[in-house]
Amino acid sequence: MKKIVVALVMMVVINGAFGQDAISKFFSKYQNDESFSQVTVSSKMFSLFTNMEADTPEDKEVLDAISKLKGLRILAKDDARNARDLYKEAFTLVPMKEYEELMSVRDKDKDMKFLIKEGGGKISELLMIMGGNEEFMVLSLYGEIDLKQISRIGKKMDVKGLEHLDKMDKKN
Amino acid sequence: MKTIAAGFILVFLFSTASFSQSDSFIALKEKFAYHKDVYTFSSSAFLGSALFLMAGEHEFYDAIKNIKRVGFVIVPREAFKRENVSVAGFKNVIRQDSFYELAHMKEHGDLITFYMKSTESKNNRYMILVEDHENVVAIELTGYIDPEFLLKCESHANIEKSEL
Repeated sequence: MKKIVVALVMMVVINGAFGQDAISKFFSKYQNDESFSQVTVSSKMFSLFTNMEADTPEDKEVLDAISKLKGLRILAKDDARNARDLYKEAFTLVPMKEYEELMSVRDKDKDMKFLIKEGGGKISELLMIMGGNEEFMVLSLYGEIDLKQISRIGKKMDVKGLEHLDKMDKKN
Repeated sequence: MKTIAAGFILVFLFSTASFSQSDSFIALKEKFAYHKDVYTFSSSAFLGSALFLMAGEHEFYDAIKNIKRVGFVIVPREAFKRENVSVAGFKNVIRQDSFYELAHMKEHGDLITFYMKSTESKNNRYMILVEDHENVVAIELTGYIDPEFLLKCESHANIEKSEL
């Protein structure tokens, strides 16, 4: 019986260790590399928007959407000669089975992919991976995500790249 | 008479500034008060916000116009070693002082952490801890900062450079 309990505990621990989100794997790998920039925004930051007054109903919707977010993590590298390699590496570290591709953008300078993780009919994570000629970025936004508001949230946070999701919304 | 009045105002400003500081900020100041190359400053935020206004930085001015007090302390890492204390230990002191972490960012090896202690009366306290290779800088602001501006500052730090 003890062995079963120990085995179960081990399984939970191992699952916890390997079940970390995609960007965590990047953080773990590159956290001591000073050429990378990292940003982590906690749920406390987003909770500040809960009781804010809005001027318009549209603003109210955006504030409500922001207050439901739980966190934002960014890993980025500028002047990266290996940006394309990092972009490819990202897809080897991201457990693609857990994500669904939402949109991809390709132009002469960069490739971008937007992936989402769904659970219980709600989007729980939006992952943006970008690899350019000299720049690389992984962005993970998690919590309860309203895709209709995400481009406007991006504008509020000045997160360039998320405005591409606005195009998708208009196409639909 | 003018000199006495000016002196009185200055003493009042600096004494109220020290009264309005958080326990953790005071603890840091006092711990390293007699160390070489430790600098501390605190005053009303009026001057800072006026400078932003004069510089035409209206977005900054609007965001920080409700900040009442500013204080900072610069402590060389060497002083932490001499006192046999760590930055991680100071972060525990900050948390015990009811500050919670809003965000942190790392760039070129420098770590910046934003903390906040909220009140109902919009008289919040914000602590910004900057750790570089040589120094640890703690900046404390008292008053209110628009959360939208705060979020923009925190998430914008390195994305700006990406120019997607």
